[in-house]
Amino acid sequence: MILLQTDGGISGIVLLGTMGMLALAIGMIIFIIFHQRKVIRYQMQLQEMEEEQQKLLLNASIRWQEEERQRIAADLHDDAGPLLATARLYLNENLVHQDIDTQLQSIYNAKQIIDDTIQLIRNISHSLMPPTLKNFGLESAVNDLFQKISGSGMLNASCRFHDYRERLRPEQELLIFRVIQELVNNILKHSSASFIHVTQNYDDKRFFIRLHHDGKGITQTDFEKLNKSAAGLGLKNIQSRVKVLRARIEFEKDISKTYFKVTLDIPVENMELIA
Amino acid sequence: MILFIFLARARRNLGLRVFFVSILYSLFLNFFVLSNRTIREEFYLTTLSITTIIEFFLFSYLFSRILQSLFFRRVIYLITVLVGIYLAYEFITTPRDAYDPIPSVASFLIILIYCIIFLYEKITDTSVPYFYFTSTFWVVVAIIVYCAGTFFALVYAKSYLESKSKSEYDFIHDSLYIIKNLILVIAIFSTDSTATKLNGGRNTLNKYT
Repeated sequence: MILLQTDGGISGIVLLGTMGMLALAIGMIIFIIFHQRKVIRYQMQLQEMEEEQQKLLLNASIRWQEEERQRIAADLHDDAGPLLATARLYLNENLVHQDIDTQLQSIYNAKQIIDDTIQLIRNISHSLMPPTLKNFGLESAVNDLFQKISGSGMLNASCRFHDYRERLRPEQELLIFRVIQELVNNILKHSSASFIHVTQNYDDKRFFIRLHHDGKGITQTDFEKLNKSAAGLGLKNIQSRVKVLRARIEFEKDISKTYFKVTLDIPVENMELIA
Repeated sequence: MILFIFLARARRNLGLRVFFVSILYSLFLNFFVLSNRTIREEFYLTTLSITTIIEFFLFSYLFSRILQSLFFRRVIYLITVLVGIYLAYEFITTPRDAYDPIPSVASFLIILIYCIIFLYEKITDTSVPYFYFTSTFWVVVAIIVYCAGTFFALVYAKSYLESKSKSEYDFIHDSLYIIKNLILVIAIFSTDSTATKLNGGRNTLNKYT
């Protein structure tokens, strides 16, 4: 009550001023606490979304691995298995009781089948790790892939590496190659494009690979949407490989609206060159 | 015992260390200087002016250490030097038997501005969301509440002295002093490690705290 006294005529002003200042100070502190709580909630939501995305990517990666294993198992079981079984039939124990011509014919047939089996296993092995990529690098592997595509006559595929003097580490090359392969695969499957062109460039800050095509494509929004949905296994694989590369991928429609482009952008600090 | 707990906690936090020094100074002042009933008014007023200068430098030091922005830290150094010169000038030129509240008001205002800059800096830094769990946040809250609450009383301090109604000033000051100390209790028991843990291991303050 002492503050309500008007002794000297200053109590009222001081009381109001003190209350006002205190109200302002407390209001500011409350605002900060509430703002911080809001930020925390927002960040937690972001974290949850990120975890969900990670889970999707992980699932996609596991599914992709399982599909790959099933494909290899099917190749081995359906193709290599019967071939080797047939070769075994030719070389069975009754062969020694046959005449010499039949023996030679059986051995020749068995040799043919074993050669076919070797070729089949080689193909499976090449599909796992392209030999051109391993021996000659990314540029040659992409060239090789595009020559095969162009050779089929379905569309015109070309590539140009402007600055690829130093090779990246094999793991990074394989990741980039798989991304290109998946993108090309998607273009072949869904876009009805008449050409695909890949360019590679390199500057002080980044290494980038750009893929153009004139078919039906997707934009970054579509890519992100598909990535968050249960569908789009191939795109999720691209995303997880891009993540491993610590790179950035951007899907966009060209300004001229005539073709789509996809840019894989790897910051130089994340690039690992062969020593 | 309270001082011992305070000291134990203050070792881990600069804000608490600054307050610890400030409280030790207040205790020294109250027990050994102002408790003397025969003290002359000139001496009492001189003590007030010295206290203003000491508190201003202490809090300026605190903010110059806890602010992350180099620009604001440099601004604080500059302001501290300029205001320090002004406070020294006022201290020298003001007659010993007169009290001029302007230096105290100016220093309180500047400290309030430092607090606002500090809180603004923390609010814009979204990488440390659990900031209000830290001791430093509550130390700054204590400073804000105390400076804002006593600001108007200080503006009219001269009138209080002239009208001889010092008890009214004391009531406002002492109430806010208690509130400040209660907030400091929160600061003492707020552990920065909780905030750091909640922030996923990131330090909530800069390297100096």
